[in-house]
Amino acid sequence: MSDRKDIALRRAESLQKRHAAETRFRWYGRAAISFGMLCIVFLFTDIFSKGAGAFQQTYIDMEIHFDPEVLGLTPQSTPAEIEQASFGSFFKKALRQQYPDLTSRKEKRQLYGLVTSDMPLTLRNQVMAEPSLIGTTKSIRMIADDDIDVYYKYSYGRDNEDGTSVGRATELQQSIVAELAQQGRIGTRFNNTFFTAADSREPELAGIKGAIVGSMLTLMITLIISFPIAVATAIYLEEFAPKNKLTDFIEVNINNLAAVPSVIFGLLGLAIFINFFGLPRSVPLVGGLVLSLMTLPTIIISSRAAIKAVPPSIRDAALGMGASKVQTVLHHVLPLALPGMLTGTIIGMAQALGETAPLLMIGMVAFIVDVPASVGDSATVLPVQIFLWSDSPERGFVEKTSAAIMVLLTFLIFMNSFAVWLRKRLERRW
Amino acid sequence: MTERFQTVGNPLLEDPKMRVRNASVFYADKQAIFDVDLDIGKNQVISMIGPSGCGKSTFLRCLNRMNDTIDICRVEGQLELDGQDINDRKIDVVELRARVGMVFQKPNPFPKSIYENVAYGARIHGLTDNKVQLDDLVEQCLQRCGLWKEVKDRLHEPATGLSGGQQQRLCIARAIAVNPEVILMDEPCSALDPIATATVEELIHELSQNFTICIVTHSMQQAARVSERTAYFHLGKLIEVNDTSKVFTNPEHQLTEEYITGRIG
Amino acid sequence: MTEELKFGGHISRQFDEELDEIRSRVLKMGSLVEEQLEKTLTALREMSPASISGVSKLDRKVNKMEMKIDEECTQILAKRQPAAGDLRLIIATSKSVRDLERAGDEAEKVAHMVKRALENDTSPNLYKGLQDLVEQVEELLHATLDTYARMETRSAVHNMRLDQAVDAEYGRVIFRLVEIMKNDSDSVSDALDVMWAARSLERIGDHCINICENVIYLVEGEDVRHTKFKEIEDQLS
Repeated sequence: MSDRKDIALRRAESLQKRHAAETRFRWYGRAAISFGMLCIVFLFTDIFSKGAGAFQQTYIDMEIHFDPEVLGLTPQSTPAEIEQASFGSFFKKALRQQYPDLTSRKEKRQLYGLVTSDMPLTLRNQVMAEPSLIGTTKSIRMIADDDIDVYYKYSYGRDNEDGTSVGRATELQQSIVAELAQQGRIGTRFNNTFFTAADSREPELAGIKGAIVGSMLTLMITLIISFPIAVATAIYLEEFAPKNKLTDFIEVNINNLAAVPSVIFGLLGLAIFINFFGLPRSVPLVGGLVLSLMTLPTIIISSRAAIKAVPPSIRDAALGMGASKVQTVLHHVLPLALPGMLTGTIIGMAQALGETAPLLMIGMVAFIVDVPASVGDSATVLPVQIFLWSDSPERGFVEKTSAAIMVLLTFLIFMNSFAVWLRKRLERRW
Repeated sequence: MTERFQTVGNPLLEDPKMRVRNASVFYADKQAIFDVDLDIGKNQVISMIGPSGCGKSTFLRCLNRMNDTIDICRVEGQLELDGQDINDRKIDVVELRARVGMVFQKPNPFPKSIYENVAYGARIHGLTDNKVQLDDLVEQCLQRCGLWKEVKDRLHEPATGLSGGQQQRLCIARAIAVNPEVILMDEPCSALDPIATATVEELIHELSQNFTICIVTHSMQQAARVSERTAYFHLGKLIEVNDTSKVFTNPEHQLTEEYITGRIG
Repeated sequence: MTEELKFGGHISRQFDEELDEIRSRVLKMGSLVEEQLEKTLTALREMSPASISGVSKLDRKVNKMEMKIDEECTQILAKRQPAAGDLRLIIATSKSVRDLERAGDEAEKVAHMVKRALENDTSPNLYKGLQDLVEQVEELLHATLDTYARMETRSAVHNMRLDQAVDAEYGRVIFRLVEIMKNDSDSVSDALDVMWAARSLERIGDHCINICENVIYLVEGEDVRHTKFKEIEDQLS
């Protein structure tokens, strides 16, 4: 009896220790998760607070008189004549008419700098589309210059303690903005340009459409090349290859390849695809090829895991009925492994979407103002665009950078949730 | 080299369906089966019993060359089906497995519909010409396995939704759909409850009129109930083969006696 | 079967114990029947019915034990599903117990018959021959129980020979009784009583042989009932 009592006592003691250890362990876990969540919240707040502004664009309404004399045009002028006309000087003059007190060159330059330098072109296009405008006066909504944009969005109407303002808007410009604001002729609207334009030197005209399309084209190439190759490799290695030293060696190499720094794949691509095969630089085709090399091991490894997870009883069942090896794989193993393979593929794609380094190596870092139309056109991709913008000195690009990061994160979250959804959807119990 | 072990009882038969002579199986260097001689009679149920690891399942898997799927496994000796060597290069293993079907320990229906499970074998072997014939075949096989009434309204629902016993009967239906001559069963009831076991045993009894059945089982009572002959394996050797009634009342070999009375396991 | 039959060594030690228990109960039951015969014999020797008084009580005990052993056999069949030697042991025991119980009934009958004869002062002439018969039957019963205890075929066959001797002795007793009845018609009713007793003794011998046959079945797995003695000897040699 006393033995039993003693044992009970010891047990109670050790139980207490165990409970303590468990509680402690739970708290370690909670601390780790909180730290992670904190980092994410910090990252997101930073990016969102910086990037939210990029989705808004400042505009200025100006009365423009389309003076036939200054333009040297009549409503009956041909498009060729409109093309010839000097809209640059006309626009400057029109602005000067609104602010006749500004006389010095310096002041005039600041006046012109209120709106985007692209404005004469926009006006010409409007006249081209509607020649009857000539001789009339119309209120035109203009995109503000990035300095004005930044000033209006972040400094105007707020008391900055040290009296400074964000951006490079001059005092003169600031006073004009204040005047415009009083008249209700300056404001913000949704920034369409950001989603419809490609890159530009002018922050107010720069967009990410070119980068998004470039990323899509690159990923398409990556998917088309890496998925079939990876699946075929995985099936062969798992189902058909004899287990010997050679296959062991191959397996080790595939696993190793997954850990090779991506910049090395870029160098490889540069050497093989561009220098050896002579493919053009900075095109999605080459980018896709390089990223395929990089994602192949990821997809192979996850596909093999998916095939391994198919219960052997299913293979036995098929083989026992007289199905051949290929029939067994195609009819039974592959359908069951497919969700896992697709999940791995999507994760690999998401990884490829966020990859920058190898693409820098093959020249996808070029400044490209056109949206690529095919895989053979020069293009850039989202992460590279982010890299480029983050490097630009203009204050206007800061918020663009963050906004582009937000777009990239949205894509990544979307792809990863799609992977989860796909797995849940296709997963079957056996 | 030790002297060859002599199986007691009557392992040999006149005009057997399958004839096994001198069969040995090796896993890499380890010998798992030692010189087995055994005849399997036509339309007979023969059960193989023995302690775990005695080689009874390995032996069973030799009969339709399922051991081929294991790289390190090597089979020696003469194995014949209707007088034809099954390890002959001329015999296609696909053809052999169509003639010698198999039912496994764990019910393993394909994760497809009930209908597809039964139709699969007929499809891959091209046994039917059109949908009507295939429908007939599926119905017929499910009828024979006593499943038709239970599943006819949900033929196109997943087979994995059936109960364990139903799944195992479905696997048997799937096996007989290719009309094999021999059906190998590797502990077909070990994952089933007693009621499901009884239905499967009843089915085995019915099928024995048209099929030759070899059943490996851990349950001695099951061997006693379903089989006409019983073979006792011990450490890779075939110790005794006799009529089931003899083995379970008065076995000839001491080891058989000890095993079936629960002295070794 | 060359190996000795053994009943121990099961993985389930409880099963071993249950089987041991049954076997020792059978022997105990056998000894009760023996005791009945022993009391009768004493009575015959001492020419006094005093020793016979407890016989009915013994027989009730035997009956109870039969039920008890049968119950245990049923339990083992239900719980253990015995096979081979174990199965034969249970079947043989279950049958033997019935034979023992019948033998007990017969022994009780003999005892009462003897008691009545002694109390009615029946002529000792009539039952004098009975003493040898009782002695032989007792010896046979003892040997049978021994055979059961040791599970031995050889002694079983030997017991069959003893039974033949019993049968011969029975014949002699009957012959003498018939002679007496022919000469002395007054003694017919008493003689018939003794005859019934002799008949019961002979039946006990037969029950013993049934038990021996069960032992042979148990050991050899051969059913030797309704087989000529000569054939049995040939079969087992």
